[in-house]
Amino acid sequence: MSLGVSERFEQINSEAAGQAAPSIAVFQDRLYLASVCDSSDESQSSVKILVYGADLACWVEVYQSLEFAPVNLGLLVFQAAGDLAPTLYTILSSAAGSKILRSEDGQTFRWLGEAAADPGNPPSLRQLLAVQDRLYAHSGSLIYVSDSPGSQSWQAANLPGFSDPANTSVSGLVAFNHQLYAATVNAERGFQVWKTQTTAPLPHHWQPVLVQGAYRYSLNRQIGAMAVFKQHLYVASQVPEPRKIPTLLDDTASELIRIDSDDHWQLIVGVPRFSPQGLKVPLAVLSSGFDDPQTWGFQCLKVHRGRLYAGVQKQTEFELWVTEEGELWTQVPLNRSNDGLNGRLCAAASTPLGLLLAFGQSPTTPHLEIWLGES
Amino acid sequence: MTELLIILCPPRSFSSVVSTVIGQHPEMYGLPELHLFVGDTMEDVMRREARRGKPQGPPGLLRTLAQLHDGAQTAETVLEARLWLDERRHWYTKKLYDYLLQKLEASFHPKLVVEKSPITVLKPQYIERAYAFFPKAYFLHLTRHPIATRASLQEFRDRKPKPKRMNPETGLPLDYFVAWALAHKNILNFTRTLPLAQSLQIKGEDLLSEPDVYLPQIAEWLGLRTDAEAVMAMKHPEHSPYANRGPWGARGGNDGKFMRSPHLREGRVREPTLKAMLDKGELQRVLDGDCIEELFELTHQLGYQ
Repeated sequence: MSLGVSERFEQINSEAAGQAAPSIAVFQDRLYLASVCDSSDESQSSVKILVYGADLACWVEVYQSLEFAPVNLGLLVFQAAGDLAPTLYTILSSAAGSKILRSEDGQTFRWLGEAAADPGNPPSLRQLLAVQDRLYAHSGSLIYVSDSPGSQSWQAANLPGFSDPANTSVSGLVAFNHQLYAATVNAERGFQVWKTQTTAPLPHHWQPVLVQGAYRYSLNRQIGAMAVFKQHLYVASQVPEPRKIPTLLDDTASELIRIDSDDHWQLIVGVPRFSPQGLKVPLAVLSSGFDDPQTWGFQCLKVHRGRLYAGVQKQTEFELWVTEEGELWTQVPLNRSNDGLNGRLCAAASTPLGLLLAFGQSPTTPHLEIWLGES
Repeated sequence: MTELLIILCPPRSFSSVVSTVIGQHPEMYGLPELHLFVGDTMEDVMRREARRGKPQGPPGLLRTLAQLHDGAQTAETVLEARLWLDERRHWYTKKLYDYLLQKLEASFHPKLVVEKSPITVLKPQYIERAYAFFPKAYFLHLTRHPIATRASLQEFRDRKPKPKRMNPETGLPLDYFVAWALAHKNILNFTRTLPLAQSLQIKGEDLLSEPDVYLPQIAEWLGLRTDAEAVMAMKHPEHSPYANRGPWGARGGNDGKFMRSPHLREGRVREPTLKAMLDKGELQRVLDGDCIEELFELTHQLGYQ
């Protein structure tokens, strides 16, 4: 059944866009892309920030530096205390620690210094998230919070792994219903979703919302994407890395689950199961991976122009699905070659110019492959 | 035609109590172990039973025939059932199964009939035969922690010493952990091919610890009544005509412990952990490194530690 969604995607990548680990933000009506490029020195990576606008019609480099490899990047538009207007922040994380860049105009970038949760033990922070007037990020199984990106002071917002040693890391953070939600990676028991009031003292008191991989246990060991859509929190699972043809013990289970503000949850896409909360059957009437067991998992969930988009990585191709209300899903055709040689989706963003998808380098494309969709 | 719910699980996995509990739903009929999916003909089934020391046939099947033909299970009605079965050794097992279902439909009008025979999962072809016979059947994958299953199997085997199964690859005695894993692999390889919701999986520990939580869900899945009266009936497995050891000539059809005490017990069913065994070095004495890794992976996939 078609939703009547017509999406036309065009490639807007540049050879200068880099090869990996992109992060995307919309700042002052332009698209900003932070990415990592190969350098001649294997111990270092070249980090670039590029800008794209409808007036520019191409990517223009606005920042470049050499950092210790490997590097993770995060872009965030945030108005901290003392900022006169929303400001573009970039966090660069590597094994050596985390550094924060600040830009008021998207052209000039200034270092705020290095973040340190412990002197001599700086965290490698991922995913900057602004919740009210605080910044959150995660490193390993810890979540950190700071009142200011330039404060050089991050405090732990949770106990390691929420006191479960099998929670080996936090996979994502999202703000929903005035609370902060965190998802964990747990290869033994399945993913967990926790929530907390960010106004609470540190470390916050966290409550479990969903455990045991939503009762698919270790088959649902981590969440790949989260999004808030129409007053629900959607969480989608993925396998940690691409699998070969699944054998029994490599069975994949890419599922989409919806959580309400009162912690009730529904299975949207996935395998029916019994649970302490009742019988769960997929409301979309689709089994895991949108009826494809050969799915590596959900790579992104993005709300764009009133619709929820889900990016799903299959064995040889990427698929984009969309829903207007959360339960009825249709596939969005992409005019992108599916010859099995394409890179995986590594970033997605809703922008005023359209839905943006960034794919990693591949044998056929030695740099990021960036697509912009127009409805 | 009345449809089937087939419970798939290795031996010593709570199958007797779970099958009987589910079978006590007012809209269901619960059968004992029939062992019919092991062969295409009754001759195949009877020969296999003879090798297992039961030349008269599966006790559960004899009791069912006695119950359906004569309304009671006595030494005399079981003897009649044996004679009846002997005259039909040429029948295909599918024909016998259809016969049983027709008799059940005529006498009790159940919406569903539940059956469990743990030997069904010992070979993939047995499961495939069950599906070929009943492609519209529901399949319930019932699990139990591997340590508890192994301990129960060891206890059972100690009471009735039999030659241990051998691992065809190594030629060494098959440890019960390996047998547990092989059985669940056979089940998972089958159920993953089924359409959405034709098969569901449940931990026996969860069901028996919280029957009021899980029995209504099972009934809902099967399209049956979920009201309190129906659930209450399910919580009385002792009311099943097969919840006792059976008459002379057909003792069995369910687990001996269950038949001696067929009531549903209250309280949380304990779940051990593999890690505790690993830390004590006990796992390493019976399994090599690859097997241990595989055992942990499968254990976690089924929701255990």
